[in-house]
This record gives sequence, C-alpha cells and structure tokens, in this order.
Amino acid sequence: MSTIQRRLTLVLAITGSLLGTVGGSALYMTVRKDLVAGFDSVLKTRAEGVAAFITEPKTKPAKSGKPEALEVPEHHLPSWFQLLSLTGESIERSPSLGKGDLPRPPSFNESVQFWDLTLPDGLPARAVGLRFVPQKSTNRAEAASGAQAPEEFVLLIARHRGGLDQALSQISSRFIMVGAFLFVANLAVVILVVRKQLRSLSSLAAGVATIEASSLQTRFPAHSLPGELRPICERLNDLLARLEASFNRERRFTADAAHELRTPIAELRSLAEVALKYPGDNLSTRQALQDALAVAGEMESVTTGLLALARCEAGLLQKDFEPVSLWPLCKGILAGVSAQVQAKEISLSIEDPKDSCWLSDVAALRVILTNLVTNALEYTPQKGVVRILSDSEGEIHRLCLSNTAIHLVPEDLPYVFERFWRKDACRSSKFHSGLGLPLAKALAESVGLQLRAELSGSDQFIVILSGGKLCTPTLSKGTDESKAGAVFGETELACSASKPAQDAEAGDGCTSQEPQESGLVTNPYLR
Amino acid sequence: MRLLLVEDSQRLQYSLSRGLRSAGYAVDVTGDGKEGLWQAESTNYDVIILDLVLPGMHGLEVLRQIRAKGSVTNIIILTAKDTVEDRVRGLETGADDYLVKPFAFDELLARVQALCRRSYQRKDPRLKIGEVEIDTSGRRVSLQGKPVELTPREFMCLEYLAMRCGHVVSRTEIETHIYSEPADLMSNVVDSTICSLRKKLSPSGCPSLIHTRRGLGYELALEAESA
Repeated sequence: MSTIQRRLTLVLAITGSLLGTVGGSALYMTVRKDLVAGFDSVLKTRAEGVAAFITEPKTKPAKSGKPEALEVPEHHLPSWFQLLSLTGESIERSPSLGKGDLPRPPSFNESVQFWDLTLPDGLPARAVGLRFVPQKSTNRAEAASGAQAPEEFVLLIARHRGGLDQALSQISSRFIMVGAFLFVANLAVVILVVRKQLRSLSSLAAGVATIEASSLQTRFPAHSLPGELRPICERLNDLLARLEASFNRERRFTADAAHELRTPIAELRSLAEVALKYPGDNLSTRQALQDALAVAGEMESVTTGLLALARCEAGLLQKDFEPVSLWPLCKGILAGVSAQVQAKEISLSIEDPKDSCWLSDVAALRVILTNLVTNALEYTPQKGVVRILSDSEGEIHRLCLSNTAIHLVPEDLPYVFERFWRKDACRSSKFHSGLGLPLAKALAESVGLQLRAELSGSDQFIVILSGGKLCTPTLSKGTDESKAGAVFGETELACSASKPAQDAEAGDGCTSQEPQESGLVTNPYLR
Repeated sequence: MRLLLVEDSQRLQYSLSRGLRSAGYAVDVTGDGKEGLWQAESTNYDVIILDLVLPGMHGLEVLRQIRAKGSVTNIIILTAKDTVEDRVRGLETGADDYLVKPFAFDELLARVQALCRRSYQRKDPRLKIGEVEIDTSGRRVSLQGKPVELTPREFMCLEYLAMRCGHVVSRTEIETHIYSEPADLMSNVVDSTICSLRKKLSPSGCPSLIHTRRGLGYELALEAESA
C-alpha cells in the first residue's frame, strides 16, 4: 500500500544516498587529485634535480648538437630515466631500460608533462617529461658567448606508482565503507524522523479508521497536531459532530416513529384478536369497534402528516404567491379554535399594528398558522396566555406566536421541529403525533419563510415566522384568501390593533370565516 | 394465576385485560410506572407484563427496582422498542421475556402461560394428579380420561392448587391468585369453589384430592397426610 510515510521515506533515502554518493565521489576525486599532484611534484623535483647535473661537454664534439654531446652524471640517477633530444632521439637511458625506450607522449609541447605508463618490468608507473637546457661548461660558455641559442633536451623520469595506487585504493575503500555506513544511517534516520514527524498523521488516520456508527462521539485533539493538519482535524471534528447529531436524530426518529406506528397497530390487533377470541356482549363489541375507529383515526393522522411532509420536502406542493393579509387569516384560524380558548380560559391577543400583508402562498400560510396556533393552544395550560404579534425590519416582516409553556427548557429547543418529538417522553397524548411543527417548518421553507423557536423568561415559548415580504393588499381573484379578504375587508383591517381576538369577534363587528379546503393538509388530527 | 399489566395505552389495557381475564387470569391494570412498582411490591404476582415508556417512571427503572428488592416474579416486557440493544438491555436488567409491539395476543398468552409454569418449576403444560389431568394450555380437565366441565373460576383454583401440588395453600393465597377484585373478608367464594371442585373431581367412592388443613388452607395431594 502506498502511504505518505513510505513514499517520503523512499524519496528522502534515495535523495540522501545520491547526495552522499556525489559528495563522496567529489571528495575522493579531490583527494586523488592532491595525491597525484604530490606524486607529480616529487617526480618533477627529481627531474629538475637530475637535469641540473646534465651539462654540455667541455670540449666541442665533432658534430655540435649531437645527443652524445651531453655529460650525464653517473650518480643521483633514478632507476628509470631516458634523455632525449627534442627530435626524440635517445641520448641516454637507464640500464633498467636495456635497449628499450620509456613509453612517451606523442609530443613534448609543454615544459613539463606527466603521464601514466607501464614499465618494461610490467609494473604501473608515472613519468614526467622535462624540457631543459643543459648547463654549459665554463670553457664552452665562454666560447659560446654571443653564439647561437642554447639547445633544449627532454629528460624522462619514471617512478613506480604502486604506493600511490595503494593509497588511492585504501582511500577509495574507506570512502565506500563510510558511504555504506552513511547510507544505512541515513535510511534509519529518515525512517525514524519521518515516522516521528508523521506520527500525528498516523494516529489521526488510525483513529479515523476505527470510527463506526457506534463511535461517532469520538473527537480528535486538534491542539497537538501540526498546523497543516489542524484545520483538517477541526473540520473532521465538525463533521463528526454533525454526523453524530444526524445519527442521533435518526435514532430518535426511528424510536419515535416505532412508538407512533407500532403502538396503534398493536392496539388495533389486540382489540381485534381479543374480540374474535372472546366475543362478549354488544357493549364490549361496541367499545372495541369505537377504539378501533379511534386508532384508525390516529394512524390516518400520522400517515397524512408523513405524506404531507414528504410531498413538501420533495417540492411537490404547488405554490401560488399572492398578497395575503395576515389579520383576516389569523382571525379565521382563531375562529375555529374559540371553543378551546374559552374552555381553557386562555388569554388570546393579536397585535398587528401595520395590518400586514405578505406576498406568499395562502394555503401554505394557513396550514402553517393553523398548526402553530393549535399547537400553542394545546400546550398552553389553563388560564395561560397566547399572543400573536407581527413586526417588521425594512421589507422583511415576521410573525411571532408566543404561549405559556411551563415544561419546556432551552435544551428542548433543538428538537421541537423534529418529527414525532414530544416533550412527554411517554407520548401519552393521543391528540398530538409530533408532526405539526415539523410540517409547519417544512411548509415555511417551501414558501421562502423561516420558522424558529425561542424561550423567553421561564415560561414563554415563542415561534417566529420570519422572512415575509410585505406587499400592498390587493383583492386577487380565484383564491380562498381573496374571499377571506373580501369578507373581512377594510372593516376587519381597521379593527383595533391590540385587541384580544375574542373581543374583536364579539363586539366590533368583525366576522370570521372557517378555513377553506385548499388542497393542503387541514386534517384536524394533524397536530 | 394473578397478573399485573403495566401499560399506558388505555386501549391496550382494555383489550389485554379483557383477553387475559377471559383466558382465566386475574389481572390488575395500571398505566403509571410508579403505581406499577408499588403494586408489584405489595402483591405477589405470577407474571408482570411491563411496558417500557411509561408516565411516572420508566419501565426499565420499575424493573430494576423490583429486582433490587429481590423479587423473583416473572416479568415480560411489552414494548414498541424493537432494537437488539433495547431487547438486550431489557433482558439484562432482569426481564424474563421480551415481546415487541405489535404482537399476536395468542403469542402473549402462550408466553404468559410459559412464565406461569416457570414460576412453579413446571415444564409440561399438562399436570396429572392421580386420575385427574389438567391441560393448562387448552384450559381442559379430565377425570379418568373423561372431560370435566369447570367454570373459569373453578379451573383457576384447581390450576393454582395443582401448580402447588403437595403444598398447603391458604385461602388468602387462592383469593389473591384467582380473583381480580379483592374478595370480601366474610365471603365464602373460595370454600364454595373448593366444594364444587371436590364434587366434580371425586365421584362417589373415590377419595377426594383436595384436602382441608384446618386453620391453614387446602392441599391438593393424592393422599391425605395423617393429622
């Protein structure tokens, strides 16, 4: 498996080895060059020393310029040498050469030349070729004063280079040994360093690999990670948190849905089986049938709610945007729940100082407000307060619906719009299935509105419907709300702004109208 | 056999209690967890049918507290929670059985019967004492191979005595285990039921299987011990 650690280790090891090899080679070449230069220097010194003793004969030879016209000292001569004229004629040679010549370069253009050669004894050697002018004898010097230019000769001296080669071989071996050691050391260091530096990444990867659906509460410590990994880790933690919340929501939904769906089925089945197994009198049969009918109604409510939610989320609801006057709409909805308001002695008020008119879908808005109002009335205790207030910020308008809610706590707020969520964990109320608020929220979002919940003080639950775009009320044709607007008309809109709804209905000539069937869910079971 | 049904759904309370009573059980019903715990602690039930999501107290807490006090009453959990984790948690907390809603009433009945047998260390649903054979599943009794017609109350009394065959059972215990409502202190319903059973199960010339222990109660046994 290709991993960053392996690839990094490989690249660093190869790079280190290459650099070590190049560096070692350069160093070896430098050392070799110095040693050879030293060897050559010795050869040259020796050649110069010998050349200094070579002189012209005191008496003029028969033929001037002939090679045999030089006097070569017998002592201080090296083992391998040869004296040549510039034309290459041998004048003198060491006895070790016999009648042979020292291998020589093709020409002697330089005053000093070095080259490698193999001596007649078969051993490798290095030679120097020195161009020189022999010393003149005193007599000849005097005689030649003012004569022609002095003649140059070439002195070749060779020396075994076994010692040099051995030294170079030893140095080369040591370089190879040190290089091999450095290679291994480099590899080990690279492995250790890479492993250590990538430990945080490895541990992060190992931690991520162990995450399962049952361990979504895992979080990775970002503060101990390198800067490059920190943002990744933080985003990963955020992702895990969202995933955990999502899983928990799904679990809650599954559990709640199981209870909401399984319990009525169990009730229905049990009623039917017991009635069949132990048929009793008419009274018990009637009771069983009544219970079965009620169960069917509850299941219908849940099914209708789920279908409405599914349609809403799938964008299958047809939306028809038109001016909607909130005041008449709220009045119509409240008229339908006046009995509940009176029975619980709830103080109900509507405050709409601007006679707001929103550009929205009237059917969706009616279902949203119906669900919000019925939900508020259901959970408001006896003699509690329900208040509907509208205000605006520029073009954006909002509608706040508050009610007394003594059992809710801030920790409940994230769940109030979840499907099937109910504060009462044992879900004893058969009237509510926990789909009203989720449907209201889904519908609000489908028409471009936002729905959120807040808690104010110790007992005020506020649902805020925001994002409404204000518009001028017009009487559009062919919609339910246009009819409602016509009925309520200007008289309704002119009603006292902060007057309780009951009073408005009873005393100021305002009329109300039952919500019309709009094609959306208005099932009374849907709460 | 006396059962306690702790279930918050009133419809299930109605249908299950009716069905269980019709099947020959004395049934107490409550829809509150705390009340269920109190009843479980104050009465010796043969089986408790316990829902989990209850008002007052969660069913698992009820179960935990019942077991913490050393009760060995058989408890069957009846709930909509169907995950493996839920079932394992319920059984590990001390439940003897676990049934998920929706369920078949016959299955619940069979499980209750099995737990009742387990309460008295019986495996076979058929009990045989002498020439009397009692089929607790089919609610049938036969004497010398011939069926005997018993009223539901007579059958419950006989079944309870047979389950505790060889032991003296007090009148109060019989009342507690076969009557849904507390019997009047001065009532002789137990005595009259025993008398009726003796007549039906002891033809002329045969010794009675049900023996009276003066001041103690009744004992179902093949032969009476010497006083």
